[in-house]
Amino acid sequence: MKRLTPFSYFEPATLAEAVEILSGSKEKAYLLAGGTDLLIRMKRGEIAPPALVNLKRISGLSSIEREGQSGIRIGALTTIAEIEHSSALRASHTLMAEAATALGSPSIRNLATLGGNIGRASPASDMAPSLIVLKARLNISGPRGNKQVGLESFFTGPGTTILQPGELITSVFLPDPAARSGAAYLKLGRGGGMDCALGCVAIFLTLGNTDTEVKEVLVAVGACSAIPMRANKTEALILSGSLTDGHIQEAAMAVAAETSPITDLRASESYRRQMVQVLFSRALKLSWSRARSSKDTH
Amino acid sequence: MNPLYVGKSIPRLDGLEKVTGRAVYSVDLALPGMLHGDILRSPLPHARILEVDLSEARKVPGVKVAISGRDFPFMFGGMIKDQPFLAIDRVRYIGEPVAAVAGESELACQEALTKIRVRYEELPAVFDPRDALAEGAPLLHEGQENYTRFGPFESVPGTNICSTSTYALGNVQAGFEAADEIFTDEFYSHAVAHSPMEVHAALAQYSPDTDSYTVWSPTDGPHRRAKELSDALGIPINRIRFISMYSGGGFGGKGTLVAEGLAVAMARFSKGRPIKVVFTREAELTASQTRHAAIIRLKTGMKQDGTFTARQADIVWDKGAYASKGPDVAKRGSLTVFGPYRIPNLELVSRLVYTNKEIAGAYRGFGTIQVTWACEAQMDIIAEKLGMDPLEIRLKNCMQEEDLYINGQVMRGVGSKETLLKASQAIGWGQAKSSPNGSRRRGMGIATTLKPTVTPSDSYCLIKVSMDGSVTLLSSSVEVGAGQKTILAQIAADTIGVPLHSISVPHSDTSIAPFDFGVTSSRTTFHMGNAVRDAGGKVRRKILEWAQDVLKTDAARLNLIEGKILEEGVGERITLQALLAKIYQRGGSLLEVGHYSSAQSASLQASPDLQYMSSIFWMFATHAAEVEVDTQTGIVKVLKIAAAHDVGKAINPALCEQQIEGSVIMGLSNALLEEFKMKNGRILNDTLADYKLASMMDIPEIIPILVETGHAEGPFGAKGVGELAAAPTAPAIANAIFDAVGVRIRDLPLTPEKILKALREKK
Repeated sequence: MKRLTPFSYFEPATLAEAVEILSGSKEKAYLLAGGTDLLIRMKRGEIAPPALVNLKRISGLSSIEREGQSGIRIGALTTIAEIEHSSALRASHTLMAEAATALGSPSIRNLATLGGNIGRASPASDMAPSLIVLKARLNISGPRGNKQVGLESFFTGPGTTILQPGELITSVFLPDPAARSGAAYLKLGRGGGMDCALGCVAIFLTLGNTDTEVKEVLVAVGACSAIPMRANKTEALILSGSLTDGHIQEAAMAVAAETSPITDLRASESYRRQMVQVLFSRALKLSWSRARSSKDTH
Repeated sequence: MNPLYVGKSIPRLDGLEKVTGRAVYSVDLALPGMLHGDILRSPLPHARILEVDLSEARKVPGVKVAISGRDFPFMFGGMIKDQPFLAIDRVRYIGEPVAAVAGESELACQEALTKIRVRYEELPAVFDPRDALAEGAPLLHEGQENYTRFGPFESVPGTNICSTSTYALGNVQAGFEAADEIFTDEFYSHAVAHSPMEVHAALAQYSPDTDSYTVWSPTDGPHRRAKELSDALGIPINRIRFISMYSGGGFGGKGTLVAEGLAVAMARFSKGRPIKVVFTREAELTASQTRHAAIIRLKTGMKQDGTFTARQADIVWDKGAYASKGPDVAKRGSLTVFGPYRIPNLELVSRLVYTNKEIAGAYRGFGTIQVTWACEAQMDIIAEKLGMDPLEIRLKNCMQEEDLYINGQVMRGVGSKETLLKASQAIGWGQAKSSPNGSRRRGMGIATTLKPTVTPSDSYCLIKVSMDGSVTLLSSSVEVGAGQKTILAQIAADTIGVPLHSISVPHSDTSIAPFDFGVTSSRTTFHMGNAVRDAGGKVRRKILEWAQDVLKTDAARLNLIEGKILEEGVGERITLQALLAKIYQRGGSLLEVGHYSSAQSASLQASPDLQYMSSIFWMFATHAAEVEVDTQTGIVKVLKIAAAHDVGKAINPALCEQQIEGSVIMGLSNALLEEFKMKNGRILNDTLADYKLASMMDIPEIIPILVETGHAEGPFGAKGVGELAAAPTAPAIANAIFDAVGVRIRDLPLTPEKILKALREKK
């Protein structure tokens, strides 16, 4: 079995201690949460972190709590399985459970954390597209205090984010969705389970006065560009007309044009482009039908 | 006498150990003084090795052994001796072992590997067997005609053709002239990984005092591996001792020296300390063995009524860098390209071609899986053109009892037709398709096949009855996970007349248990089962003779059932334990040898000089699949597979059904998902994250069906099941896809991208 090469290891007990270690460390320190991605890359020799900071001893980072009437806060160390099974999230943000169920296998979901999934900044993240369309904001702590940023502006490239040395994600805030809204997350992998997405689409949609009038729509696409991306042009196109089969088809062409997929081991560029259209159309129809059947108020 | 155990789904003897995690595999073993071994592998597909500098590696603290091929310059190979333990002056594929280190810790070895300096001179490489056949192609094995060959494997000197074989029956030209329609198609069956849960792992210990080796290994044929090492090292077989471990899945991949050879090479230099070699999953995928890819061209002549006039087959097998079991795969596996059908005129050319890639070896089916893909896909192409139902055309042509095989052997126990009928019935063949929903379309497909078993071959065992009546069965039939120990114990219990729980079946140790050809070719139940019948019968007769003397009665009136001696009309007279207490007053054990060889069977008689193609038994199977194709994504969801297998007689029906279920999953997985992504000889998807295997989410309803035709020479009528079982799955699925959406994919795997592309081209 491959063994890890030696590294420095820290187990801070508080957030402040973690920030202090991260800011003070001369070596590049990597954050360890679930370890489902980090440790594999270390074993494969893709990365050789000089230092690991294990965050799991810090209490208070793994809860799912309502924040007044405005929304819900998910701690960064919350596991994907906890998100999948949270009754609070199922009540207000069903999409989160849908995305969580699509990630890896049950054993991976028991270990992997929300903060880890976001911080890894994988273009194929199962969580990011849904978080983007739910207008997630990240709470970040660092040597210069706390701040909040929208997830949409968090990713800068594959594996890279706006996080500065010493900074870490502490929680994710999700505002409550508006009335008459529906959402869907659809993913395509190879085979029926346990695959990294070769394409995925999340849509959040709020209806206006009629069942075909869209008041607000957010579309995010994963695995089809360098970062989990919001499809602004497609959203504008959807808003420009009422929901009909023809309009949905037109929007599907737009989303394929807006993404920039590549050919890799999992799929070719052209297949990805075709699939993003199919996933988009299906997700839009599904979120539309969910919006129509949703209660008028939350 | 009705058997008490045979024919019943007895829970497997190794079950408790395995579900509790107590079963010990090679990976788990830790011996006193053991060192860990690790391997430096070639980064180049083809290169001359100019220098291997181990000096810095030897300085790493904890490192005890560092060697290259020049330190252990032997060649091995069970069929053709063409493979070095570690590359000597040349590497022929990416991943080939170049140097090896052993040390106190895995980390020390990893560090030492980074300090080995190798200078290579790159050579031109060839990856496609068609390119390797071309004039002027770079040669992998110049002078291959000088290699020692253990069998009739003809090379073509000065080419990359490792071995070639031909066969002809009747007159194909006349057959084609008599045909109403001629079909010419090319099919491709891809390379796949065995993907066992347990990676390759072995331990080896060398005794400098006796110049002997002990090897702990999960190999499926410990006696043949010992012979291969003996041939390679030039030492007698009795100085090589294989101790078998549980095998965490073999599927043919553990049927040659893989981790064993590397551990042995290092052990020679460790001053008696045992060395453990455990492959990483990456090495398992890229540098163990694969299934042979094959390009199969079929030309088939048909009458309008759906009968065959002739078939010509040209098969090119992608060998990879070394022979392994390829020569026999290409020779014997090719023959089933004619299917279980009556074809009057045949011609076959099979060529096995070296390429600069991972070695291909035995893989469940031994070539049958590849040629069945071609045979059964073309069968549906033919049926469509002739306007026949795919089931009907198969029923019309399938072999029947006492038909002659292509070499003239009279076939007996032919369940071909029955498997076709039962599988098609279970899937609901001919019923109207359920209404399609949106973009999804449903279809059904069927595929059938046959397979011989390696013939002739031998199995020996020893049965030891201890003085208390408990029984030990010493056999070298390794428990590869199919239930070998359980079925052999069932046969022994019923043959001798003792309770199943009184029998123990320890792991094989070649220094104790006699020769067995190996757990391969679905031969164990039949061959070792017959050897156990032989030894068990002798034990039983001996016990009844003793009982006759002790009880002063006629042995003909005595019976041994469940460890008790009964007398006709009287009832129980004495227990076996009490009887043996009288016989062995000062201790003792009853020991009998069992032997079975298929060589002498009259049933093998065939046309002159063609008996080598006969099989002691023939297995038949049909799979019928129902699928749903999403025409927008190309994704195939297999809904149901009915799999009917003629097993002769199920010694343990549950174990037979598990073999069928496991095979269907394996066949489905490699038909739909598995594929090596290659670039310049490098396997890019070297993890199970990207080498996709079917997961529970992909598995359909599976209906295993046992057909029991009975075999006159099999133990209780049994034949075999495991090896053939995955062969019809891929063509059944492909035929169902055609039925659903009208596209025919000729090259495996059946990926969504290919299906979607074909759907668009069809429009």
